Amino acid sequence: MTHMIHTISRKTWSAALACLALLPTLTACDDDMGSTEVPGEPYVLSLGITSSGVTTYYVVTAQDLMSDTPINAYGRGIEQNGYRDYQQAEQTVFSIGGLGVTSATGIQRDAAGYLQEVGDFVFNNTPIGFCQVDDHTMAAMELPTSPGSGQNLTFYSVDIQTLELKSRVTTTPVAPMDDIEWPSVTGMAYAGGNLYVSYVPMNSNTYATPAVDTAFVAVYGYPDFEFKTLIKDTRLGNIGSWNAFNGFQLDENGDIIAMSNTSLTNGFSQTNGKSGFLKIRAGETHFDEDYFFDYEALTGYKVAHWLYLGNGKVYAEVSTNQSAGAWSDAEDLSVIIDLNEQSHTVIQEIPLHSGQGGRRFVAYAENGYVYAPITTSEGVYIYRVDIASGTAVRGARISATFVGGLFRLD
Amino acid sequence: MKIHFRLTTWALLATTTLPLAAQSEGDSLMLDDQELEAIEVVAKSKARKLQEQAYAISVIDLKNRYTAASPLNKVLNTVTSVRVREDGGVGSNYTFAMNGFSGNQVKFFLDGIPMDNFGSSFNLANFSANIAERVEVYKGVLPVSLGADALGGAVNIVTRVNANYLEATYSVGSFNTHKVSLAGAYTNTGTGFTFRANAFFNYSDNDYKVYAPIVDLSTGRSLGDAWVKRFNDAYYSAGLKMETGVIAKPWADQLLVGVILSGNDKHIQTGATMDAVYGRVKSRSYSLIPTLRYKKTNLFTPGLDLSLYATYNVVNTYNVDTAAVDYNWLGESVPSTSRGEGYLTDALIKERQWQANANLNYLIDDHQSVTLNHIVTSMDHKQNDREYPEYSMNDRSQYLTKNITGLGYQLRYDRWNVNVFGKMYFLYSSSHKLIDQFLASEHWEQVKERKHNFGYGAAATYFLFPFLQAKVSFEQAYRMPEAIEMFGDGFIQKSNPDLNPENSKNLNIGLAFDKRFNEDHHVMAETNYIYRHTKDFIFKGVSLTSDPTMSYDNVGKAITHGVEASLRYEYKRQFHIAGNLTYQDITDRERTTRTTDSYVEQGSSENTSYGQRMPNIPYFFVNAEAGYNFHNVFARGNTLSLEYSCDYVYKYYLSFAGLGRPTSKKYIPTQFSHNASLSYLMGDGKYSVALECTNLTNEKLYDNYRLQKPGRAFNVKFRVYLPKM
Repeated sequence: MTHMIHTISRKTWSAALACLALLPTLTACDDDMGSTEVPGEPYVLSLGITSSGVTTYYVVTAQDLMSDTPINAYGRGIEQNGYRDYQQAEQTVFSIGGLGVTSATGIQRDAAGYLQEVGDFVFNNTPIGFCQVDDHTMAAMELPTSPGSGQNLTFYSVDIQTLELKSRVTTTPVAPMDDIEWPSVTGMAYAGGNLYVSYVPMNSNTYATPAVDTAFVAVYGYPDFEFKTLIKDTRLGNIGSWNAFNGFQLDENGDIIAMSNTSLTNGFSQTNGKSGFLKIRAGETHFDEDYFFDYEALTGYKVAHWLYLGNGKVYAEVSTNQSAGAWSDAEDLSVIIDLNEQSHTVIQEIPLHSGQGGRRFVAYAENGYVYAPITTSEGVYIYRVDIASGTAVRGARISATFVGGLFRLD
Repeated sequence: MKIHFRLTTWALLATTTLPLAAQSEGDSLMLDDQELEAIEVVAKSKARKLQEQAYAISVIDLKNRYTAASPLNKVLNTVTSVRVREDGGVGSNYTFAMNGFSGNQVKFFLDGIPMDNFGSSFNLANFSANIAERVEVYKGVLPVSLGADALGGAVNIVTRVNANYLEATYSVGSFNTHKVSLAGAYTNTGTGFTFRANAFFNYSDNDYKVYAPIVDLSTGRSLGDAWVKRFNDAYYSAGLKMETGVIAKPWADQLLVGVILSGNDKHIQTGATMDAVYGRVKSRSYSLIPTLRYKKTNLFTPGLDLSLYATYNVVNTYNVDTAAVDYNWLGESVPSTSRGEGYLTDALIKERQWQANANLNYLIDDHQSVTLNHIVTSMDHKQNDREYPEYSMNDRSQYLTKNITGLGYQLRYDRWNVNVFGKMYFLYSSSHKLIDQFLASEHWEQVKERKHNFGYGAAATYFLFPFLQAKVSFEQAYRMPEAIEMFGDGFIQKSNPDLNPENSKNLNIGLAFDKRFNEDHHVMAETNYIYRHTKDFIFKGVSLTSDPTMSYDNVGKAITHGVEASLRYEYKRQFHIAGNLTYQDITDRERTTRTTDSYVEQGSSENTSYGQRMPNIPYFFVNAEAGYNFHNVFARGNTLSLEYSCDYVYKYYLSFAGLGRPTSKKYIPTQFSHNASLSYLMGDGKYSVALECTNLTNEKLYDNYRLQKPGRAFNVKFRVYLPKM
């Protein structure tokens, strides 16, 4: 008996040893699948992938947005962490965000046709305004998060190609943007020598919006970033909505088109029942008295996210139901709006959907089409909208939770 | 004598429930040393006995570690399946991860009392190993007597209760690190009076060098990485734990009142990654915890044992980040237009918690016993941030009460033993919520929520041979939501009354081998297979839009297959070598992601990481150690010990491995670090001095991404131990 026990124990012993020796070899390979990237694909998409509460972005390329092959990040795409906003200027896609700090990273195409990160510029805080001023320069603005944290704005100008800091100005006060409440900045644009900043007065504790009836735009000089004047207009209401960067678009003449939203589904605590468009001519310090379009009066819908396409045409997602839930951005329709004709066409092929998920509106226009990702009950798909006819076709499926940006780099 | 002996036998029979295991030590206090030794020979070592339980448990016997300067959290790193992940040096934040569980999913106990709300000043990193007799690590399945809603495991620290001793240690080391501890116990066997105290003081500058990203503060440009010294990471903590009372009375085996007092002060050098560097951010915490413990065996009738405890935790935490300044890693600073280097705050967080437990055990006959356990915890949490005086949740309490009742039955024979148990979890929470926000009818209302869940499990062991034991255990476990998770902040952050507990099905199957050959050679080996099916993780809603109104939500599903193995060989009292390894394959098993509360509210989208390994969790790691004792060196009774240990962690990705261009992915590289120590014990262990070197080869070590841990460090520790006063 004793002998048997010994034998068994010896066997167990060697078996255990064998297991110990074998295990490391089982794991001695990496989990990544190698690179599946193809050089020279023109379209650039930032895929936001959320799993178990964490979002990671992959900046991938695609040859065709209408293909049957899904666009995915398996073995491809530049990985970026933290919350990110994407914005293109010339041949650079800026990725702004990060973990713990906010930096701007440029994404450019290298000589071999692959995307590469270039430069890395660290902001003090998250820039709340970011816009192109000329072929070489971006302007950025930071705002202290609450009245207690500071009273001055910080402006930067950054080289588009190299991401070098050109200037920084920290002497411009937040005032008078904080006259009513702390400003929630919703848009920034450069036109005719001025920087225009739209904002919503919003209580930084309760997020209440007490003054929705007026459009507020602060005007700053460039390149000195000094405050010039505050312009107001009461034909519509506040310009833009919270953190959506949707206040302004530039038209083909370099004039500013401003959008008023005041939607209960986009972070407003009250609405004045108006939504539509105003204009500011480049360099002027007042709203254009000749232009006014109350889109809500025409349709009953509120403009939430939009892209100016030229010739007075706008591709927009519009809120159809003010009872859809505070902050929900839900029950949106995609439409083509004609700012000149003051008319709209509902794109019937795109189902009722919620906002896209990224903070900046994701849509790309070329050759008479708009391409936009839409989250449907079947997943995320690119839809191609024919601007002239206001009809759409469903294109490539996107294997991601949402799309953070859609651009073209040649 | 006979009665004493019988008492101990009863206790030995009952040792599968833990408070009683601790209690048998109280009993043995009544025996003199010789009798004690005699019994221990028969009864095997306590660690061994615990390990033979049906539960998957690892026991670290700390008796041999008192000369080392290691804090308890580092000692735990040597257990299979366990990783302690630290952010930095002395006093830094750490998370304890076991089989992929971490944070609130793993609970800590001090002598069976849950210590998760004891405050940051009284935590494992502050204890030197001296305070504890042993540490028990339960994996997956918890005994009824540890009543807590742990999802995947628990750690119980059993403090030393030697009747009479006095010990003082002092260690000094690199980065201006000083640690002092004093511990003592006095027991009068005549009157039964006992007094026990532990005190500690830790200080460190933590100014170790790190390889950090440098930003030019005047241009905002990244200048690349350089070696720099940390400059805002000083830490001190001090604490006192006292207990007094009587033992061995007819009406009480033990009646003890005690108090824990502790405080810490730390400077905070970095944010979530080393990209963020702070120069003036600070945090302080104070804890005051009165405790009461009572134990009685053979209450009213032989075989009926009762143990009770109650604590009241008073914990105040201050977080301050108000400076209008920006720092870089060179220690340079420039004024900033915004106050607050990370997040502007000047907050006082007050937590008050009642905690009480009763454990009743009845030995029906020689083979059967039942255990009934009930634990109640009631937490009152409120905070006040002076930087946001208009914030209406300032100083509003959120209450959370948990009741957990467990009932277990145990059948025990010579070769096998079976436990079955059920646990009822009740949760009651109450908070204030803003109703009709932004409307004229806006008002605060008290909202309450009640929930209950039923968990169950079983554990069995069988001795295939006297030296080979097979074990299997299973539990359906739950972790109840905390108040903040259920109610958000009751204000902007939405509440989610539908929040479900996190739940997991945990299965362990193991084999344990323990045999002596020719008395001199002792071999111990253990191997386990682990299965976890975990779902409904509680996460803060996915903030795709930084919508400030996000609520907590149940998301995710993961399956874990793991194997762990350990092996130890000892030759007399001269030489030992040991090693263990863990491989755990944790994969994402959620097919679709729901992202409620975000802009993408409709439907659900495909989960692109389905089937992939869960990121940011170490999945293959190995520890090894060896030691040699030279006895009677220089003088009779003196021992010189040489110890070596190493730690290997295989590379792991911080995001899903299959996604993205491989060269753009962030990962923690494979790490292999070595530690060595030389200690000299004099006067049969009364005096000792130990020299220790950690991270011998000065590797760059990380647990959490880019949060670099200290490089090579030396310390020397002096210890005096007087066993009889």
